[in-house]
Amino acid sequence: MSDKNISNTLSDKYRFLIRYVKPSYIEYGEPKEEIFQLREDREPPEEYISFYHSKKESMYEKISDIKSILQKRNFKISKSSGFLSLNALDAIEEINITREIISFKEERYPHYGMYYESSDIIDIQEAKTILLYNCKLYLNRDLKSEDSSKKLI
Amino acid sequence: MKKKDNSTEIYYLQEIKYSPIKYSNITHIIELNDDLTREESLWNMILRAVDNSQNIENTIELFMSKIIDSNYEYLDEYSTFFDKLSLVYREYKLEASKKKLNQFHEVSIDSFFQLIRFIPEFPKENLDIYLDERTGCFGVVIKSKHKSKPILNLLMQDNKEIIFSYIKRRKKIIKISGRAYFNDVYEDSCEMKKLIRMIRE
Repeated sequence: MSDKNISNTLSDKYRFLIRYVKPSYIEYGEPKEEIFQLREDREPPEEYISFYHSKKESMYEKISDIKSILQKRNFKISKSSGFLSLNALDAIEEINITREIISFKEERYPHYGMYYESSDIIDIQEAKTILLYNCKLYLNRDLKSEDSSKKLI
Repeated sequence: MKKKDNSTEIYYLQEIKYSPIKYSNITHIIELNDDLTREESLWNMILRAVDNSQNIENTIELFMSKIIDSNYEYLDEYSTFFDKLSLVYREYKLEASKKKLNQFHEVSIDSFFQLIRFIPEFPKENLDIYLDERTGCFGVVIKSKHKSKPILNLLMQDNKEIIFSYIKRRKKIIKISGRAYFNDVYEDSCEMKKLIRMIRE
């Protein structure tokens, strides 16, 4: 187990991780399966699914915090994009209950990487389906109109 | 209620395969099969006519246009499915064309046929189509509005295996995952109901 394994670095209170979702991976306000595919154009090919962490309290504050981090890095955030939240500790527990299929590792905080540890196609399909089942999508356009005092759960 | 085909006129599929006959002229030609609905029988015939077109230059776009031009009786009910399929395909190709460092897998025509052969068995709503970047194979995610909101994810592999995963939560997570195989005979596609039944509880 890596020292940077998420279980060792995230307390129960801060267990949510956030992922930016581009518009083409959203359909009728719902996340598409492609969100959990390794599709980025990188050499060597992408090894993990990117997530970010924030220590802010509410989900709205967490997403705003991560948006500002991304914008400072000149990352273009589309108006019709979204952010998904995932309870990473629950995901690990539910996906890895019988064998290790995924892991989350810190990749220079606040950035985390989700790795597929299994090469078995059924394991990966099952993991993606659980991730899709467990994640919650927040549309960027809704966040903009959100009163900052209103706390998203 | 299952609609039974009452046609008494049987044409051999071999004749259809090599005949320039238009679908509009053969809507009454249905292979008699007590197990299948009229929709399933007609769809299998369309698939066979399109699939047998012997042209190695055939592309997914061409197959889709042939189906749309077929005047298939239930085509209107499939329009949402084909709109989604077309969009997913075009976006995948577009994303692939922009890639400079690592390439997506080529889209699998065999997987395309594995997907569309089951259209009569799929629910008309709450269905999302995707393309898997590792394999170039099509998949569908079917969501239920049942209170536990179960989902079923099917990946149509080009070896005709289907990787399925059904997820729901009761007190804790329930996972049913594995492989299914429905061979290459279109008349056996109706067995997909066994998987779909999980999400239709």
